[in-house]
Amino acid sequence: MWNALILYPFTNALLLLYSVVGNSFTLAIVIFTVLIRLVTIPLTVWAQKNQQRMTEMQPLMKELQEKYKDQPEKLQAEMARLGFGPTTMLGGCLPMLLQFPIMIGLYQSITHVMAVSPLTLIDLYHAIYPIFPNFDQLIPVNNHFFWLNLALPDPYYVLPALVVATTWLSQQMVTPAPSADGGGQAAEMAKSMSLSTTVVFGFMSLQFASGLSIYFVVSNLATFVQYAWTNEYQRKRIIAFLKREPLPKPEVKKVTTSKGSKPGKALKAGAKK
Amino acid sequence: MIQKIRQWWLLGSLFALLVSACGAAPAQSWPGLASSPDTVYIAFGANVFALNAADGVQRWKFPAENNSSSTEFFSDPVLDGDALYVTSYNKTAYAVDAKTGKLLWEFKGSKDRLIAAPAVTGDAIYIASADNNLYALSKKGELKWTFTAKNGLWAAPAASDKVVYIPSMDHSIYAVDASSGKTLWSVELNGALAGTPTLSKETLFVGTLSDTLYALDASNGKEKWKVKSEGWVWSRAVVDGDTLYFGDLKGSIFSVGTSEGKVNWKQQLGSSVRGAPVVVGDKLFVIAEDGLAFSLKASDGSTVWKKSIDDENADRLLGNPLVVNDLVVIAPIYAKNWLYALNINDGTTKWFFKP
Repeated sequence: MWNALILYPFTNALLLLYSVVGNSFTLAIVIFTVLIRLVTIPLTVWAQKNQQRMTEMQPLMKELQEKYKDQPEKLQAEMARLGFGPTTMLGGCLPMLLQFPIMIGLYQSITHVMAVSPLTLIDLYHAIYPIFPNFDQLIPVNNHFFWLNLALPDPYYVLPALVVATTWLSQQMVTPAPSADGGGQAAEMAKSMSLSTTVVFGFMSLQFASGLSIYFVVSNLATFVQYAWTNEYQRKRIIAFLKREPLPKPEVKKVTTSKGSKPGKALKAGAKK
Repeated sequence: MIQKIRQWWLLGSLFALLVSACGAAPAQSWPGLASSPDTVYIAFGANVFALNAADGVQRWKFPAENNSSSTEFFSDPVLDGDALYVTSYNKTAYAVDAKTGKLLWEFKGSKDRLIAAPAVTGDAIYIASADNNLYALSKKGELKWTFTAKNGLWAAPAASDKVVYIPSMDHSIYAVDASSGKTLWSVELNGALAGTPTLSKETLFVGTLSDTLYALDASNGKEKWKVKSEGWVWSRAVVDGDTLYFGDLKGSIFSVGTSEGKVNWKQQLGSSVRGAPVVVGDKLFVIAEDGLAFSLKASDGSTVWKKSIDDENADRLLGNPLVVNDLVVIAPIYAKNWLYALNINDGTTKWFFKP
């Protein structure tokens, strides 16, 4: 199921791209990653908006948790009224979850097409559609790019350094604007996640084939560009950074729940801004 | 405190996600096998094991201590007198005492993985490397010369005392002078070459990853004839008298006349045939990727018996099977056990091995 729906189509598309761009695997990875990111933009924008909305609602949720700390049923009912019921919360995660298979498929297809060992070459053979033109002539895939053998880690650590830098950069963009109260625990968590993600990806690029590091770098840059394009707060941060001005403070969005307000209304108002 | 725990939980989840995305540390290739009349050698993963051929009981393993990060064995070892030669993905070739498993010497001159099995002649050992080089060593492990192709070398060469024939992933096969390493001739074929060639009576038989088996004149590389297969020919061809047998990755096994390349018969086994067939008398033993072992009549390819290696997880038979005495020895990649010894006459399991 996974192979038929994700892995094989991705692998065939990537190899086809490789042949179209003149047997440059690096260029094929770059173009394919960008194409996949373009296709998944609606999902990532949806996820981004959900994330921002959750951050904005943090003070209110904190307030409610404090108010109903001894009445869990009441707290749950109130949260549901505001649009934070279990189903809604899950729905909020959905766009993020949907992205994972695509990203994993992309990662696996790159490993597949590189076919650096006998077993992976046989796997590639099984993955390629019979109608694929001139498949035999593309083997072995050209794994060389400047000083790099894309099947091996970068011996000069240039790519791992780029992976660390771009991961950190993209994490800065992904981390939502702090809420009105500065974010508190959520902001700390986001900061910690950002740091650990950067460390993990840096470590992986030291160990893994440099072809995958190229994918990490392009993917991170795509994230950066996408967030700069779609998120006003992040765009302002970049402009301020480039003009060497103080970083902008996030807009204070006071979201309250008052008696008589319709369920979910405050939430929607927060999301629109 | 709770916040810290949450942070570590998140970090752990992230690690788990990344690891699952990358997949479990997979085998990179299939197990390698070699044998003497009383011993079976299996090279797979971190170790090479020597087992009693009669009952599969382990005699020794190399290295004696487990150190999975330093050695990765996948190619067929080669037994020559008292020495067992084996190559590793850690870029090192080893000579091991075949009786005790003690290291005799090691060669660390390769710059990339050693995917291919070594080839051994009277006074030399040839190590083909994914770094494009063929290294000729003395039997003491000293480097004699190096030959460089245009792409990686994944297959063991076919070697005589005078000429070494080395196939390359660069689509060419090279004939190299055994004493100097100089190129005698080279010929470009229609695809990459990942299977070991077979030298028989001045003819070189080699399959390509472009659905073809070639018969070349060993003296000058000129094509004598070729047979079009249905899939990649990665299997080493086996000559028995004036008949040649080979398999392809679409699951066909071919019987071909060596003189003109006329196909005698073709049998479809249902899944990829990567391992070289073994001929014993009038029988042919073949394994197919999906877990089935076959005994076929060499005369017409009809099935004598077939056996599923592992009923629960019969998958990925890609290495070369062996026949030792009255046993067919098979090493799957993913199965309950590492090695299965089947009765040559009916396919019943006589013993199996798992370290």
